[in-house]
Amino acid sequence: MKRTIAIVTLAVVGLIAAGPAIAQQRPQSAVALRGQRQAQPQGQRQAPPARPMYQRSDTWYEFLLKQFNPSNFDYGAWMEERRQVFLDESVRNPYFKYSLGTTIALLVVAMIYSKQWIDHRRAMWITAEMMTDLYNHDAYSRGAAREAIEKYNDHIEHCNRAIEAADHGMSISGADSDATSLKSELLSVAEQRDSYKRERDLVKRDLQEKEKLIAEMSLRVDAIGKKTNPSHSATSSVDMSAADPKLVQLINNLQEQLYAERRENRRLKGA
Amino acid sequence: MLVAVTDFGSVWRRRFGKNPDDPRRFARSVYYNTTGIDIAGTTRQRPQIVGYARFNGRGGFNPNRPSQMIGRVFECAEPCVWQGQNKLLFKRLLNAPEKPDSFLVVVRAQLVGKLTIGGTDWRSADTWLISFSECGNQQEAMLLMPEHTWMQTDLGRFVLEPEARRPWVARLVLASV
Repeated sequence: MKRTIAIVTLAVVGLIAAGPAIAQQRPQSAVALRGQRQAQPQGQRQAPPARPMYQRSDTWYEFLLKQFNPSNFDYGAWMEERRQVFLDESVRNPYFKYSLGTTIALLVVAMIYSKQWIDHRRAMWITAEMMTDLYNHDAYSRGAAREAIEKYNDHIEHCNRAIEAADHGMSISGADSDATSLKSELLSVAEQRDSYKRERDLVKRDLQEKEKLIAEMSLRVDAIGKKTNPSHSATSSVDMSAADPKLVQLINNLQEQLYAERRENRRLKGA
Repeated sequence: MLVAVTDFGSVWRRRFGKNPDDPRRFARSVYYNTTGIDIAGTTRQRPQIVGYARFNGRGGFNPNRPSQMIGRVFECAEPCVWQGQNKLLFKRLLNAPEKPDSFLVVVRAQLVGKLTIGGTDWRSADTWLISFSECGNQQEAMLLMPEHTWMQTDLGRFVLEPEARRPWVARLVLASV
């Protein structure tokens, strides 16, 4: 810092002292500068001779520049040399090109991967939204169906009550107030129903056995009747009033199957 | 067997005594009820499965007020097949209603949805299809159904539920879809 202050002070003093002579010395200075430049390579090769601190032949700014670069080093050439070295080691190096290509390829691959990942994530989000919509729609549909069922049953119930009331000439009364007593009654009736059902099943079983026995006996009687009176067998109509209920049920099912087959045939014919 | 009537089919026919000199000719009348379809304002039978319910005039059936017969219990013969047609004979109307063995049920497509007759499991095994009429989208079927039996339509599954206090009155309840 002190050196800088001293240099600046000397420069100001020199400027004041040499002010009138600057104009006269300017042509000489230019010549001297040119000579100095020509002599510079020789000066770099040979040891510079001991020179005074301030030479009258130089301009003040040359003097200042010499203070910053006393050895008169050519930084431009040095920069150019280093630049050429850098270029040789980088751009003109085939390994550099390979590395650059590999890096760019890796970057492109990373970008493609990122895009694919983002697209996949977006697709998953859309799928999740669609599934949520479907689930909500399903839940809504089920709720609507439940409501429709209740509404339908209530409506039919009201219709029945209205028809009954119209038949009996009564007005429709409101809902039963004693719901709890009805519930208890319902439970007791349900129990009775179960017991009756059990009894009914037992009786049904006995009845079926008896009916089977009767059917066998009636068939035997018919066979005997046919043997004794052959003309009786020529009747066209078939009385199945005494037939086995299982047989009637079978005929009923066959009728349904026949209907289904007819419908299928019509469909196949394009009717 | 005891059968309670929940509804009637759309087609009625009757047969009177053939002797015009018989003073009880009309008292001995017989009434046949079966299914039918309304076509252009006219009820047509359009039978796909032929059958009928037969009511005797002497058995307490009032042909002038058939709606009063709904919810009543009849003593019936066992269902049978007579000359290729399903027949259910209603012999006698009970004076006081009792718990029936089965119910005479008539269903229509506009109320319960389209029936898939001929398909698998469209009704309980212990039910009996007496008559069935169909034309276009219209269907009417007459069935004999014990209580708590079911039938499946394209609308859902209907279960025949009797009332707790009046077990001779039952109706089809939509149980599930």
